[in-house]
Amino acid sequence: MTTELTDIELFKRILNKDSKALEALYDRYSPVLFTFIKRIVNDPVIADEVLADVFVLIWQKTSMLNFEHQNPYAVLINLCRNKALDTLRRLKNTDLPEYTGDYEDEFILPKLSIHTPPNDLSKILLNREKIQIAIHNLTEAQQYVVSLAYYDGLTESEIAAKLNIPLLTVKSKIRVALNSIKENLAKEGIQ
Amino acid sequence: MIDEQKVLGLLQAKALGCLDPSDENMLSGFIDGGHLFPWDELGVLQSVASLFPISLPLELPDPSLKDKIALRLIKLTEEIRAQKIIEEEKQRQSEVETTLPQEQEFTEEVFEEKIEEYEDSEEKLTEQQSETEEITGIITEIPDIAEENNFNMDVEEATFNLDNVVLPDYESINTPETEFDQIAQPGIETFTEKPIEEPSVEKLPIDTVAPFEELSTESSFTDSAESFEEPLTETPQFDKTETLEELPTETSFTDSAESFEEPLTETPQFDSAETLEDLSTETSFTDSAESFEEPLTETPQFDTAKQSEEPIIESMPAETYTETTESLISDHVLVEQTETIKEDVSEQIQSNVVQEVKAASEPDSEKYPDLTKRSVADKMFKAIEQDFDSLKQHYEKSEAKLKRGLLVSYIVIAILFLLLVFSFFKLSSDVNGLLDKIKSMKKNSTSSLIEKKNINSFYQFFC
Repeated sequence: MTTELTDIELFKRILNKDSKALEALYDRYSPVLFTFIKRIVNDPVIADEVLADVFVLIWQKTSMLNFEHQNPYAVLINLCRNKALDTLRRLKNTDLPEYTGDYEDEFILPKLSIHTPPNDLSKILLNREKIQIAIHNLTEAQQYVVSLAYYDGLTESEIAAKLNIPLLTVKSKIRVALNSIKENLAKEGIQ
Repeated sequence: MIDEQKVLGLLQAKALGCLDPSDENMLSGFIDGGHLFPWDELGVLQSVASLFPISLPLELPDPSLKDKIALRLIKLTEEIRAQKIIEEEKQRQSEVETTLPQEQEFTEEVFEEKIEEYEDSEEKLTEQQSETEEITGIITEIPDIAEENNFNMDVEEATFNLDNVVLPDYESINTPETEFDQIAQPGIETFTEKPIEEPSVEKLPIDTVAPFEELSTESSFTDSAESFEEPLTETPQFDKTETLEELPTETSFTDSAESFEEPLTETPQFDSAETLEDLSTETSFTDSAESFEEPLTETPQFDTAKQSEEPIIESMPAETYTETTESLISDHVLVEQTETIKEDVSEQIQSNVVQEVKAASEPDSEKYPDLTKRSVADKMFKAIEQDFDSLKQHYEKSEAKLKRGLLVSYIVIAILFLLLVFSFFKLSSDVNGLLDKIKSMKKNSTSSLIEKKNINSFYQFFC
C-alpha cells in the first residue's frame, strides 16, 4: 500500500508517525540520497551515518518541513546536503556552533521557496537522462565550479581563492551554468 | 538601495547554497526591506539545483542501515515516552503542591496560643469525665453495639502470612519435605559412611565371647571346627606320644597307649559338635584305654565348650577310674598331660579365633574386588587395551599378507605378460626368418609349384 503512495502522501503519513511510510520513503529515496551524501563526504560509512541521521530527523521533524510547494524531492536533497556538509565540516574541526535543536532548525532544515515547482522522484527518474545531458552540456570549468559549490559546500569567494580566479568570474560561471541548465530543462519540459 | 538586477544575479548562488555571507546579509536585508523578491525565480533555481544528484551513478547503502535506523527510532520513542512520564509525574507533583495549604510560620505567638488551647482542652476533658460518671447507662450500651457487629476477629489469628491463605478452587501442593530428606540422606550417608567403614570393624570385640559365639552358632561353626582340626590333631599327637614314651611300659598301659593312639588318628571324626556331644554322653568308659579317649575328645570340647551345655567334668564319669589302681596312676599323669594339652590347645584356639575374627573384620574389598577402585578400572582398561592391540596386530598381519599376495600376483601376471610378449616377438621373428628362408629357397628351387602352395598356406595362416 505504502509503495503506491506519492512522496507527499508518504510524508503526510510520516507526520502521523506511520513507520511503514518512513520505510517506504527509505526504500524509495535511499539510493539517490546515499549516492548524493557519499559524493559529499567521500566515505560510505559516514554516508550511512548521515543518511540514518537524515531519516531520524525526518521522523522527528516532519512537521517543521514545508511541503507547500509540493516538491518533497527538493526538500530531501537540500536536507541531505545541509546535514552532510555540516558533518563534513565538523569532521574537519572547523569552528561551528554546538549542534543543538535550534541549530538544526536554523541550518540543517532546508528553507525552500514556496514557489518551487512541484516535483516527484518518479518523475525525475523518468527524465534522468535528459537531466544528465543538460548537466554534461556545461563546460568543464562550469561543471567544476558548480561541483565545488554544490558538493563541496564552498562559497563563491572560497572557490575563487581555491581556483585562484577572480570572484566575478566564479559568480558569472555559476550564474551562466544554472541558467543554461534551467533553459535546457525548460526546453525538455522539466523544471 | 539594492539593485534588483544584482539580487537576480545572487539567486543562482543562493540556489546552489554558495552565497558569501556578505551577499547573504544583503539579500536578507532586501527581503526584510519589503521589496518584491523573485521567489518564483529562486524556487525554479532551487529545483534545478536539486536535480544535480540525479546525474550521479546510483549506489545502494548498507542493507543493515535500515535496521539500524529502526533501532534508533525505537530508542527515540522509548526516550520520548520516558520523558513524557517524567513530565507527567512532575506536573502531578506540582499540582499536589499547589493544592496543599501553605504551612503557617511557627512563631512564639502561635506557640502561646496552642498552649492556651491545650489548657482549655484539659479543662474540658475533666468536665466531660465528671459528666460520664453521671451518665453510665450510655457507656454500658456501647459494648452491646459491638456485640451486634459480630466482628470476632482474633488478633493472634489474623496474619499476613500468605502460606496460610487458601484460595478458592486451588489445591495446595504439599511440599515433600520428608522426601527431600530421604533423598538427601543417602547422599550424605555415602559420603559419611565411607570413612567410617574401617572403624566399624573395631566394634567387634575380639576378647569378648559374643562374636565367637555368633561364629560358632551359625553355619560357620563347622568351618571353624574344620579349621581347628589341624591344631587339635597335631598338638595332642606330639604331646601325648612323648608323654606315653616316658610312661612305664605295662601291658595294660601299652594297650591303653595303643588305644590312645588310635583315637588320635580318628580325631577327624570330631568335626561337629553333635559328634562330640554323642561321644561325651554315649561313651561308657568301661576300658581304661577307652578312658584315654576322653581327653582327646575333650580337647575339641574346648572348641565347642562355649556351646556345650554340660561341663567337661560332668561328662567324665568317675566310675571308670575305679577299675584298676594302675589305671588311676596313669590317669593322674594323663590328666596332668591333658591339662597341659588343654591349655596349649585353648591358647591355640584363642589365637586362631583371634586370627579368624581379624580376618572376618577385614574389609570385604580384599575378598571381592571393588569395581569402583581405580586399580581395578585400570586393570580392566589395560585388558581392553591389550585386546585392542591384539586385534590391531591381527589386522595388520592380515593386511600385510594380503599385500604380499597381491604383489606376488602382480609380479606373476607381469612375468606372464612379458613371456607372452617375448614369445610373440620371438615367434614373429621366427616366422620372418622362415619367410626369408623360403624366399631364398624359392630363388634356388626347381620345384616352384609345390613350394608355392606351401608358402601360400603358411602366409594365409598368419595373415
